[in-house]
Amino acid sequence: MRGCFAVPEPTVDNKLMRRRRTFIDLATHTIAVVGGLLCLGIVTAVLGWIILRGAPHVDLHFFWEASRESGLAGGIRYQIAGTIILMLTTLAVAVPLSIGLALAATVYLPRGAARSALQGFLQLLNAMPSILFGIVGYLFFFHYLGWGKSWLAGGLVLGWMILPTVTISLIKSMEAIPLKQIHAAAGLGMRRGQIIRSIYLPQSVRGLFTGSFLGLARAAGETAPILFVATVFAGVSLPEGIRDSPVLALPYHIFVLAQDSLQAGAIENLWATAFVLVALVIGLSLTVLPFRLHNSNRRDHA
Amino acid sequence: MDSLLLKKRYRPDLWAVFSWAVLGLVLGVLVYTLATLVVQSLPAWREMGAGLLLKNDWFFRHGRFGAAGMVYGTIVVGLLALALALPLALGAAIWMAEYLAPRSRWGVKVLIESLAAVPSVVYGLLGVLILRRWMGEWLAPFGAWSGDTLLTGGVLLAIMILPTLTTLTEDALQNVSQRQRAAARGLGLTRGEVVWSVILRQAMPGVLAASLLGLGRALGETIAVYLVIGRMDNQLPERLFSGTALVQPAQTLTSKLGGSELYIALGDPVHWGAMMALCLILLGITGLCAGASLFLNRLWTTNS
Amino acid sequence: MLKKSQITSTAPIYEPFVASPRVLLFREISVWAQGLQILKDISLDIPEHCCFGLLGPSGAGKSTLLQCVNRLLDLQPGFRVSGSIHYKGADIMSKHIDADHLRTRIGTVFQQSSVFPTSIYENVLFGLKRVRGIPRAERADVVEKYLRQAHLWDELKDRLKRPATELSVGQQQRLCIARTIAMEPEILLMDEPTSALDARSTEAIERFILSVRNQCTVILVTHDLEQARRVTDRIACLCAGEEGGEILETGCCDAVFANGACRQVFQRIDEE
Repeated sequence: MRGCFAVPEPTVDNKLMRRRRTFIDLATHTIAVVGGLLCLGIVTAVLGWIILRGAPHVDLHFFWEASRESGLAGGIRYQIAGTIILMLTTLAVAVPLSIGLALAATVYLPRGAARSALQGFLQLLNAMPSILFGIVGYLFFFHYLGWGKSWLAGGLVLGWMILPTVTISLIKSMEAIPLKQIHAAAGLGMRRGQIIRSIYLPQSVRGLFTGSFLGLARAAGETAPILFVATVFAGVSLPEGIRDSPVLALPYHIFVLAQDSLQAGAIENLWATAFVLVALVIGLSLTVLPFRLHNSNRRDHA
Repeated sequence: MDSLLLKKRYRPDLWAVFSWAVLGLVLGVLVYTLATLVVQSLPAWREMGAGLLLKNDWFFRHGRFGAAGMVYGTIVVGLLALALALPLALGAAIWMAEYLAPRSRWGVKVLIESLAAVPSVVYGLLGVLILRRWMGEWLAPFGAWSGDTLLTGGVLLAIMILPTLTTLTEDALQNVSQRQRAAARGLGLTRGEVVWSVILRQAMPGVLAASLLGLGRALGETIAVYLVIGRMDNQLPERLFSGTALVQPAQTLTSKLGGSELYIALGDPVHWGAMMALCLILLGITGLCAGASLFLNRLWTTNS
Repeated sequence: MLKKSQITSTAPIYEPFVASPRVLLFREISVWAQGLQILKDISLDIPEHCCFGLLGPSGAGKSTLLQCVNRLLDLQPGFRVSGSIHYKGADIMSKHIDADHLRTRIGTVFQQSSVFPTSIYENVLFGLKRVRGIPRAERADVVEKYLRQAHLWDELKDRLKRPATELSVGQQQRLCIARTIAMEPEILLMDEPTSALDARSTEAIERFILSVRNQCTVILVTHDLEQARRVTDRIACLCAGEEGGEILETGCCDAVFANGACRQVFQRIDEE
């Protein structure tokens, strides 16, 4: 069949060229498939290990009991409680600030350099190592304010850390609002504040939701920011005040146990805790996945 | 005449007040952070000068603070992670963007993106319980004493940045318009040729930006590296590309900062200053990567 | 929608057209996209060295028919094709055909030009360099030859190394034409190449089509009846039937325009 199309070609070493081209085609396909399968393999291995080693040891007791024997036995009740407290505080800190920043970036700042500078700053902040947030928090709360370890300090540091994630998501959904709507509202005589309340905010709820969940997923798993300012390993159940009230947290629990992981019982608990943490984080991320994919599909068709 | 038209009462836009206040707060925190870091690190700079960066001499008990070993560790571990992860990520991205059917591509994408969410402490755990043992066994014939080596750190970080790198690279490849592909195939180019001549050539800035972002993340990672790198100071080899350094334990800027030395340093202004200087160096390195990535992205999206 | 009963003649009319051999034979091509039928039982004989026009309203499936010929339809998911297209004795739709090689023999000019983001010089050589290979010494001559043929040489001869994206839309489309004919294809498929262009570029491209008929067969999809009159030797009129596009009439322009059913179709095109 191929011979039907053989037209006498001008160059002499054309057979060589055809062979080379076929080789490149095949090689590229192979590289792609090998790369993809290896990537998938690593992903599956990591997730698989966590699930296989961790899931069997997780049961209702594990969630409900408190830790005993320095984490070698018992459950992770107060670690979960601590993580939840930190996440709620983070949310309470990040959401208002993000709304303010997003409004600045889409409504109040003059167009052009100022807006792209703010967006650029947010991208840079997002890429900062998380340990730096923790150290600066330590400087501020411990050194400057004289607090001890505090859950509020942890929430503030984490909230500051996820600020870019939530803000960028909000900005995207605000920018997706068609300009015609804004002009129509202004044409009706609405003031800027009213336009914000009735158009910008309601239509960016989805962005807020997506960004918050993604940010919380990150905040729940981070150890470095809360290492110095908020968490201890044992001796605390629920916080009692603000200034000197550390909490327990899932990631810190894993971190400390991983450093002296010599006893068999600890290893079981380690895997189980890791499984719970990963399930929480992936659960949060996957919840918003349909909304994120929907947004990017819309962008492609536009 | 409608009297309301004439009266222009001043009504403060509360949202504007709120928004500007937040902006001011955020900028204030930023300025305060940078200023504090710089100011607090001054005693160390005054004491050590550039030696802080260049000397391989960290003995805090004797008041000597040369962080060259840590800078070396950070950079090597970051570059190693990128070198290991980028080929895989690029291959996987090409596979997803050019060869997979849309439905399978979606499934693979979801799987890989969920791995990107896994926290670093869990990677650290995997490193401690699994990777460390393996590396200890495999590297023993090369002179490693244990599994806590620079190479282990690099491999673990490579696994950590793989999902993010794959996602970002694939986005960059997808950004090349379908019409370019159709035009090239219409000329008779094979699928493989289209990947190299058209897709990669046009997506290169995006791929580069993605790599820089992945590198930045690897450079800034604390917890996972802390657990597997051995945390041994002053591990600066004599030659720049030394194989022995890879199988020895090492120290990175982040593993030092994540340790308990921060508490110890609290009393001594020079020691504390040195720690703050480490923060600044780390900030500088990661900031450079992030900034370059941002710049490339801006360049690329304005041209396409 | 025109009902079948309104068509006066369903059999294609052949006029003895200089007894030239048929180079492309469509036999009962039907195309479905996600369950919906787009083309129904298309049968055409396309003679060699002529310009064959495909006319019809939007949605009749003209572009889809064209994409069957160079197998670009394979690149889009969700399409199913039945029937056969015979070219040089072989069935293009067969699985055994090397589609990439086929596309070097059958060139395509799309409705929207997409130049590669490199220099004008490199754009012309793009396919040739990679697929055929061309020694460095010959490259400049080749670029000049095909830019002349596409009526672009005089405008661009001083700035061959400039990026192709700087050109106007009309120039970009002609550059795409130059790039395509540099492969010396035997069949040239053109999908409404001038619909987005100004009068001057349109005229240049029409002159090009008239001149290139000696070298290859052109299949031109167009909306413009006057263009069909000026440029084509034979046309086929497609209409969007109930079950997909169908051929109403083939033949030379006057014969087709005389057909009542086709006239109705053309009136509708004019109104669009």
